[in-house]
Amino acid sequence: MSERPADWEAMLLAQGIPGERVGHAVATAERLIATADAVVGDPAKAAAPVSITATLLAHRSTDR
Amino acid sequence: MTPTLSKSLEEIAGLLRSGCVTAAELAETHLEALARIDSSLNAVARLEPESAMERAARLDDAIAAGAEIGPLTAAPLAHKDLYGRKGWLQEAGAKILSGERAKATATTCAALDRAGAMDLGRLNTVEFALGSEGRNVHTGPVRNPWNPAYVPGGSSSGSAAAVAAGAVPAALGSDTGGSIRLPAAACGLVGLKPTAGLVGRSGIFPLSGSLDTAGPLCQTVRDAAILLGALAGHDPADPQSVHLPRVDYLAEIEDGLRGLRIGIARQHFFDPIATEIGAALETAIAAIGEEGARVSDTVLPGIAAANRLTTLIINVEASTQHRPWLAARATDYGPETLERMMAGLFIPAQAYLAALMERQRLLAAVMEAAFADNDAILTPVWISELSEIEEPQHGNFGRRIEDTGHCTRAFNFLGLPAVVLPCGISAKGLPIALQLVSRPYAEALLLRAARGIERALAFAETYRPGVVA
Repeated sequence: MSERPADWEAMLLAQGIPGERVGHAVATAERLIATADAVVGDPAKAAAPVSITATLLAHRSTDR
Repeated sequence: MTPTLSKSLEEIAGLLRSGCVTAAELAETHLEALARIDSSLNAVARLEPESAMERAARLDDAIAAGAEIGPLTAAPLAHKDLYGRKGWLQEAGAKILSGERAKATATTCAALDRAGAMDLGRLNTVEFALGSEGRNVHTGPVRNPWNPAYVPGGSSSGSAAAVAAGAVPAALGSDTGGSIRLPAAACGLVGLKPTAGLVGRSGIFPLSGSLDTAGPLCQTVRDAAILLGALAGHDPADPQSVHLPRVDYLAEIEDGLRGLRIGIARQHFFDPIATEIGAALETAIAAIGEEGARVSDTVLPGIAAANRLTTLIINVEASTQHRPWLAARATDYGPETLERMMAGLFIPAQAYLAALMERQRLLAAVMEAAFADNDAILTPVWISELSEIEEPQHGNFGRRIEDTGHCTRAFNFLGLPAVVLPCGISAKGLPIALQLVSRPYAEALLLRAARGIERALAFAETYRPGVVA
């Protein structure tokens, strides 16, 4: 079963990982989440992610 | 025996064909060279002399019996310590994997076996390939053959150092955010990250299933074409692998730059850039124009977000795979690796899926804006000086990897093929490189452009590293 994020913080601290390092990781995560939030498009157009190779093949040039 | 160190694959194949050298001599010479450079560069994880000498003896027997000598016959290679060969140690530069043996041979290693190559051993990597400079607290830092006081780039750091020092003509690396291209660039080599899906990845210890790619680091563009020809192909054990017709990557490689359209992606990629790196790039761009390519500026819309979204995907996928170890053995990771892994634990599924979906949208936008009128896009690789190995490590490791991967990570996000090659030398005697990116599965065109630039700049004829085997 997946652990909730709050549990992970406690689990890492309990193993002796310094709070400063865990704090850096949390700060990095928040920065990345903000970037992902900014690229969320029109909910009506949102689709399940497909393999990038399908999109790459669609853009494959056959003229060279 | 004719010396074979610091020679290209093509040169070594020529010596083998002319009878100047045998497979056994090649294996012995290059095993010794790897052992020799290891004392100053720390490039080697472990050598496999018994296996290599047995393989060499079989190859010599086959050659004596009239077997055809191909471009990779008896090529003395060694690979990043992520590449599995059944029964060999596969430790990925990690304490957590200490003593672990590969259960299967990587598809790529099997492909090179079929092409006749020899496998001499494994080369050092950043822990679990999650770093861009070549540092590893468990195995020690790999050093740059051009100046051992400096990092060689990572995460395929041992591959780059061993090839640049001439101990092997080529090595395989892996590239999730720049891990082939950054060390190849830092060590004055050619490094190729193929289009996602072109080269199978099964048997390579994974970092991020969505973004990992496998490819070569080597001394010449022609050698990259030879290796790609052997490596490209469908891998049924890799869900990202594609079925495509075989391509002869050497067929048009000498056609030159005339008539090609090269877009210079100044926005984002050149901003900011160290002065001497920018100057070397401008000199190379001028030379490309003089060779007959049409050179013009281009813009990749929305590309700035791709770097962070690459980090997000890597961190989430790596932390998912490593969850049991993170829960029980977090102190067995190096601090740099752990901090990046940990970040993935705090990212919700919604953000991860948003990042994956953005790949499709951004790829379509970049294709329309930048590739409708260009055959290839040119960017820098490193935009700032390499670090000294003794430089104290502090601060936020998550942000640092984004800084070093400023020019590389976006093309893992987009899945596009990219090649790096040297274009100048810094005041400190360290190589400066450029990156070319092309359309999906247009590696033949990409390598033609790279070969044209390599010929025009003649870097390898002008400069040599400080440490050679």
